[in-house]
Amino acid sequence: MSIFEYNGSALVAMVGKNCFAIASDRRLGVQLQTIATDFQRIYKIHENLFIGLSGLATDAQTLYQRLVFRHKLYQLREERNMKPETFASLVSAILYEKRFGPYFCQPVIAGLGDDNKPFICTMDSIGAKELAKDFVVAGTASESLYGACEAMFKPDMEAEELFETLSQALLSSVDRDCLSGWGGHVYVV
Amino acid sequence: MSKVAIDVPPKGGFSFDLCRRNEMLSKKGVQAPSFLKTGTTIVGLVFQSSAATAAPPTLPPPPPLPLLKPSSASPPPTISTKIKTTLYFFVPIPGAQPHAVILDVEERWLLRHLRVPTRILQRFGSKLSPDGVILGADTRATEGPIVADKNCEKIHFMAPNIYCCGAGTAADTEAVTGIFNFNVLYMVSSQLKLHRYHTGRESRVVTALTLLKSHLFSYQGYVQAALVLGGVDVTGPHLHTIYPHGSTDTLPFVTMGSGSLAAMAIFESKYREGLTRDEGVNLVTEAICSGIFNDLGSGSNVDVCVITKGNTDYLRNHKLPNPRTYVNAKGYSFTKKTEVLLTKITPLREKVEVIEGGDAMEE
Repeated sequence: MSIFEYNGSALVAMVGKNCFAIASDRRLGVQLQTIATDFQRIYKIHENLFIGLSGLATDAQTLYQRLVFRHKLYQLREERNMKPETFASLVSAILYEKRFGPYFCQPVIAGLGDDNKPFICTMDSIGAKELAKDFVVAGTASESLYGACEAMFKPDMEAEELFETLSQALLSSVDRDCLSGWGGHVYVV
Repeated sequence: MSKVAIDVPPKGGFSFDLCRRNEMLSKKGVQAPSFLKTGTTIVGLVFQSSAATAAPPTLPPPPPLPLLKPSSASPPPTISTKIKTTLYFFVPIPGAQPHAVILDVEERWLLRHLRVPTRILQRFGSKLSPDGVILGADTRATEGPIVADKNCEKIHFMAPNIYCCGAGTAADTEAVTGIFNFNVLYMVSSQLKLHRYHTGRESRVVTALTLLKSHLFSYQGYVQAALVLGGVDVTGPHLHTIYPHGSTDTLPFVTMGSGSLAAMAIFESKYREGLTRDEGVNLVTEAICSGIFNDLGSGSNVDVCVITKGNTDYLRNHKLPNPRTYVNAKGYSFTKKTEVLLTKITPLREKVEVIEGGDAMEE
């Protein structure tokens, strides 16, 4: 049994026209037993930047607390919010620091940069960044999510259509995965 | 004041805090996660089209010209029947194209008594074509059997005149060539930049090579990055491979990655010294394509980077041999709408307006 299958998760982010959407499932389980059906996996860093953390829930919460700490320090020093690309580099560095004893977490980062240009990226558990122009997925349902997103994605969707596409992709994928489910949270920015 | 375990490690470098916990988990039967690999095909090639070393294959035979008798100063030496040579005699005709003949040692010796205008013995072409290095890579990143990224960048920037392709674990190749503030010494690209500021000179390929190999050796192969490093500096074009344990090779053409055998097959059959830039790019593209189609760990597109003295061309997605074939123009239409349980709309804050000239404050 893999460590990523301990809690179960499904995360996906998609790019639209001057907007992005990030979605996660809501189940928290201990192997096959469900303990919560309203677990939050997507956290807000600042208004235009969200990070979703899949994998082991305890590592996800610890990592989130560290990232919020670093971002707050950055805000105090620079008197502005971090750009999504910078934040992605920060997460990557923090994860790579633990290269030989990693956090069991796969983050999905989504943000709006300058000129409302959407930015999404995902990483593996040691910080290898994968920038994508269309969609990124993470979690136990990732294989189904790859397939669903590949089929349903269209470039330059408006916010309404993006929401619909993303939630349909998420719901149909988690239906095929026993470790994730119980609905979804979608953030459209 | 109590010692707070702060997040920012004072010295940088790897931290091994979670190793004990992870070992405990693995003893309980929990498998370690698989990392993103760049099972790839990466290649490098040095091209030097200086004609002194080239045997021009398309040189037309010189047209028959009237024979010029050798000067009577001294009779030509006896030609032994064993040495079969052909001596070409030219009359410089005004307006004719400059021909050239590459003479081998015996022929030049035989002609030594002739007074032949020296410009006939010029090299082919009026100017030397530049030398350089061509790097190539595919663009697939895999996570186990799944393709995680169909178009990732494997040719990393080290210095304006030095680029590096990476195979192995993606995080390792990105971190080792990148600019993470990672160790007491920064990673190689930032180290090179600082060195450039310090010395005021262009970076040399051997500098990058030594930095990379000493870093990889110190981690005894645990940082799994196999690299092809190429660049052009003041000493000329250089191409090296660096293995994860820290050993290096310097070669005129190299391949690494899971597709290296497929690419090496192409190189071994088609490489020759004295390639021109276009021939080199075509050969590299062919080698990467052979890796893409014959190796499961490589795929998608071909990236090429041509580095010459003073100029670098990064041809991202130079060839796209795997386009998406069946694309539904209409897109996907959903019959059943998603059931929304709760909607919360938060308008983003307006920026605070700063009003100049605070009259209120003056009073």
